[in-house]
Amino acid sequence: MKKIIITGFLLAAAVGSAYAQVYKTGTGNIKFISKTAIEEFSANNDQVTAAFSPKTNAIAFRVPVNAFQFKSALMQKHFQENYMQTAEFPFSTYSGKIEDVAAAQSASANFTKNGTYEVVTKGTHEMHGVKKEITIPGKIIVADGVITLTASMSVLCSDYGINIPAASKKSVSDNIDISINCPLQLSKGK
Amino acid sequence: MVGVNFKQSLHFFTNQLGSKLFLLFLIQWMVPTGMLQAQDDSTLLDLLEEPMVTPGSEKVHSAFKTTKVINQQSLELVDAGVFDFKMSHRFGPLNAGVDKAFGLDIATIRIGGEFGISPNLMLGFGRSNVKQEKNVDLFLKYRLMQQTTDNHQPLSILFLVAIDRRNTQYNVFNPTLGKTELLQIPNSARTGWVAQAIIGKKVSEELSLQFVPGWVTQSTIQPQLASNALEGDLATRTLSHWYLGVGMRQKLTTRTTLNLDFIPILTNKGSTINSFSLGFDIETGGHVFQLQFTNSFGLNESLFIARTTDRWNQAGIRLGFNLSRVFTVINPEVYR
Repeated sequence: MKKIIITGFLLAAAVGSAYAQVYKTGTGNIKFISKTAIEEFSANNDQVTAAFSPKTNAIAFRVPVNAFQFKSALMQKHFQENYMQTAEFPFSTYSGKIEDVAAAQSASANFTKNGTYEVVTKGTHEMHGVKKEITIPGKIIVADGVITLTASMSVLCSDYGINIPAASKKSVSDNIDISINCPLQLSKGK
Repeated sequence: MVGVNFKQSLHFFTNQLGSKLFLLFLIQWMVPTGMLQAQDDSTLLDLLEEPMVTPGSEKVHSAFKTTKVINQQSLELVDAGVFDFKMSHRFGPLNAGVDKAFGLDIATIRIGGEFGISPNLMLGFGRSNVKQEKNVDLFLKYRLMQQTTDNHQPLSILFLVAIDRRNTQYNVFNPTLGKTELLQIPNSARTGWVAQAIIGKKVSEELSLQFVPGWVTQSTIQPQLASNALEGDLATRTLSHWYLGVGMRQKLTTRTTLNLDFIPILTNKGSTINSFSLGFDIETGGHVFQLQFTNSFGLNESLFIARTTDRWNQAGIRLGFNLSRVFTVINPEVYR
């Protein structure tokens, strides 16, 4: 019985420390821009959840697609209903792992020291119900306990089964530029 | 003594409390232990399972492509700060015959606009040339309740109040003075009123359904009769009706829908025919193009509800279209 109790305490400690390693946010920012010769528009999302575990180098994003805000209310509705079908696919996710931390910086492992780390993550991106293995180069900025994940990337709508009708091809680009900026903080407890 | 006490307490601990504590530990730590195993790299995502935006509590948008089903108003409002330019056009009835190119010679047009004052209030206006009546209409549409995805609010409920005024001037011959003069028509005889609720639901991504119980009152001016009538005895006829409209849309593709619009009159029907329309919505960017077949000539509420005279079964069918184009006037961030 004593052993069980002790095991219990040990487990508790283990769990506590494991969770202490995870940095999280619920208010990360993702922007995207579509540029064509005749039209440019952008949308902004401040409700991105993201997590990073410096111990395991795992990274995860969860993006509520309906939370993208446009400058035109109609464009926002069309984005939700006609392009992203958010009733069916409410979230986009990315789950990956840091592939290589540049050699020079690997000395200060586990992202404990302040600084900017150039990293490349590799993982699974799911959007509009389509899963793709992608590699994203980005930066991890450590500053006084806040770990900020930033990256710029572009995706092709056609890769994710997002159909742009012929009539809109001149104003909606197939190639969408995305920028990610998520400051994470140490997650206490769950 | 101390040793004995310790042994005793340990004994007590293991026998009395032990099993309970064991259970407690089991309950308290089994769950996180499971999660500890789930902490494996690929499932860090699971930590984010608790989304900040609960998808279940969102408002349901886009039950219809635009603010009109065909003739009747739909569950939609123009977004706050957005101006929607509206143009409606109806040809004459098919049974006008070959002489009038099966109705293509005849055209009635309404040009108007709608503006979103706030997220739940919209103002609309228009001018139409239906039957040379120089009709001006004005309406307010207010959303009391909006359907939510978690069905906490299972329906959307809106109210519409519309007023229209016929500005036509009629010249009549006054036998006393021996010359034609302007027929004096009181405002009440020129005015039509509509008050209705719009209750409906986006049943699925494809299908939306609405019911529109309402009341309409309007007058018909009959200048031919008036000119023969004695002075002051104006030939106007005021009629009020209760009606129950039905509107439906079924998506055919992402950007096209099939719509149905039926407005049966329940009381005081007389010779009025129920308005029935079938049509398609075609959406391209900021435009919605509505193509329809209808037996109504009217382009504002009181006219198409209470003054429809053509019958589908007598080929009294008109081809028509509505055009909608939105312009963002005020940045939507103002309303967030």
